[in-house]
Amino acid sequence: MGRFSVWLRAGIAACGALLMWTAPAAAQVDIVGVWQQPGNGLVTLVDVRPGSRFEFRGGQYEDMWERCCGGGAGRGGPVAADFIGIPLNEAGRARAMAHDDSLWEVPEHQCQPHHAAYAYWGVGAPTINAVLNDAGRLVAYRVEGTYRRMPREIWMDGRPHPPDYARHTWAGFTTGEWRGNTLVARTTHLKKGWVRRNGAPTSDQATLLTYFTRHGDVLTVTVFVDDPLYYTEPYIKSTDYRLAPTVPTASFDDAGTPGTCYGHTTVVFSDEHPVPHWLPGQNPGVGDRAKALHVPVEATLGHAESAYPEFIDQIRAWREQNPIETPPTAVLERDSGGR
Amino acid sequence: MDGSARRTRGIRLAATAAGLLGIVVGSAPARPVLTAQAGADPGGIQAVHVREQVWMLVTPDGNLALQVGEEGALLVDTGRSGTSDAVRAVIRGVTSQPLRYIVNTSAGPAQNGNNAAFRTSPGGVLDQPGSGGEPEIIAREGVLLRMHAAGYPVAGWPTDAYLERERSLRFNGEPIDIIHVPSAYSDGDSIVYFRRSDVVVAGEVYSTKRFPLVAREHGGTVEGVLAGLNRIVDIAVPDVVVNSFAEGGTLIIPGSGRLSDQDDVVEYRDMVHIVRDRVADLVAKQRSLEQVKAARPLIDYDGRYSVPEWTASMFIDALYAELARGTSNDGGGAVR
Repeated sequence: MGRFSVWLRAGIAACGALLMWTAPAAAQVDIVGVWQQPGNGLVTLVDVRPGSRFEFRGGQYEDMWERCCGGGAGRGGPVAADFIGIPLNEAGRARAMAHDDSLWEVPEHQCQPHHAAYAYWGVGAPTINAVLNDAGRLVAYRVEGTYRRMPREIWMDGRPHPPDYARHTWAGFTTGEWRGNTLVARTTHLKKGWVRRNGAPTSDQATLLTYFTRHGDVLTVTVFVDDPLYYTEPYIKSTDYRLAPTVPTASFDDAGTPGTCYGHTTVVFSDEHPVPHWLPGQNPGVGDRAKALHVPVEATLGHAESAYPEFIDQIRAWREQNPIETPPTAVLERDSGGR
Repeated sequence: MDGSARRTRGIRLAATAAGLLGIVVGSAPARPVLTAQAGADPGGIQAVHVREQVWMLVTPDGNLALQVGEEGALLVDTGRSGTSDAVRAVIRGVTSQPLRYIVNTSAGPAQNGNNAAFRTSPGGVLDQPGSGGEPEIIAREGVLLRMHAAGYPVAGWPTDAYLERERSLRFNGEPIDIIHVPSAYSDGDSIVYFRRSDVVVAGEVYSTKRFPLVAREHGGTVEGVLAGLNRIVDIAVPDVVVNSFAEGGTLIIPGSGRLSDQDDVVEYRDMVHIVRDRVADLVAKQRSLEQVKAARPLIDYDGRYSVPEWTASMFIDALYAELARGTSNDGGGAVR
């Protein structure tokens, strides 16, 4: 009996070792699929720019406010110089305040994809596929994009991040590992980018930690943007997706260049190589958001504390000192275009 | 279950587990080898394949470029003096072809320090007498003048000091444009465009590591740097992917720093343009150099591009001296 138990124990131990070896693949929650933000499933049309319209079939998306309803001119876009909740440091604030929305009209800026730090808030439905090797083992997850999102791999095979001299891209270079039921992905080698389309910047030194957590048919994606150059602390934002019953389609409704983007002149600048920007202290958008919300201007200029609930106490104190004298009326806020 | 059955089951479990374990171990994907596209690493120098016939040689002092093919090798910049053996070893890791051409993008020490060593070495990098003679050294005339003035050994001087706006040649089946960039880092700058490989070598005009160097005493200007960057932006064409947007395309080898594409140069160009405008605005308001520095016009970029050998303060010196020239507050000192 004792001898048999030894064999049995050896077999069980070997199986245990096998299970531990394969645990990351066997125990993980599957994130493969087509995901979309909850909505009514109807077709949504968004004017990208005059003559170019984006059509999205599926749900709504979390930045709808920023895209359709944030400002004026009927094309939406985030409010200019509104950086509430973004932990900008002095350098980051200077960079953000220099942003002029006209920059998006410069040909070489027109076709820039959405940066990985922003991509999950754009329109569309992430499609996540597993990349397997010939032996059927997971090598990577591939996240296909839709609007302006560069496809990206989340490498799961333990490969190192590239050396310093390697290119930086809009998608960056990402590796991942499972921690329990959450896939944690680390991204480096990013280009400069933004977390709001009104110029809230990220530098090419920024790195991302992205957490993919699935709860049934809901996938929560949480992104930590750590930028030693422009942030005082990581900027954190999450979004929820629902498993899509059908595959949404996305296309560009632009007869001239269907499905593609070429930078071209849409605004005539006086300079052959224009770089629209605001000089320090001259950004005309500063104060618009503060006026609309009746908060101090400084509260809109990107400070870490403006992301925390306690900040409302400062707002209340300020409002007691600065009561609203007349009922606020609708303020036509400057927008950042329909990009 | 009797003991025999238990034993048999246990053996099967163990055998099955061991077998599966073997399959798992055996099927583990091979780790990617980043060095598969990189050459040897003597003296901290690495050869990185960029595209087609072009390689980037990453040295501690900056980047060199190498084009190789059936006709031989062409080296863009030769590296700092004293590193020729290391550069030669890395080139040998890429090709055994003789060195036929050298192009200097400027007269800086990291660009032509090893000119003489490569010029006088029999057969170029091949070290075989009679294998092809001495390589031609092509550079803008300003490089020749600077090397002459600096007492550089004659053996390392350009043998073809061009005066046109650009010098074009075909080598290894590829049209190559050597394009003069007037008054940028100096008065002898060139960028090199490998048309078929679709790679631009930017020289000192572009760096991902620091503010642009401006050797004012050698005819360099920030305006010239800006024009050079715009020229690169105009040459470069990004990839356009169906239903997506621009990435990659023409690749740019900077004078120092990481391999780049058009957008990286656009970001750098935007930076130079913006800080130029800020300093110009302060100069127009009659601010002194000290007042300009106190206003911190480079605040959003100095954490990224200020390095000990070329600080934000030094770059402001160069900007101020250039922008205040001819104004009542002209007094900025020349730098570098």
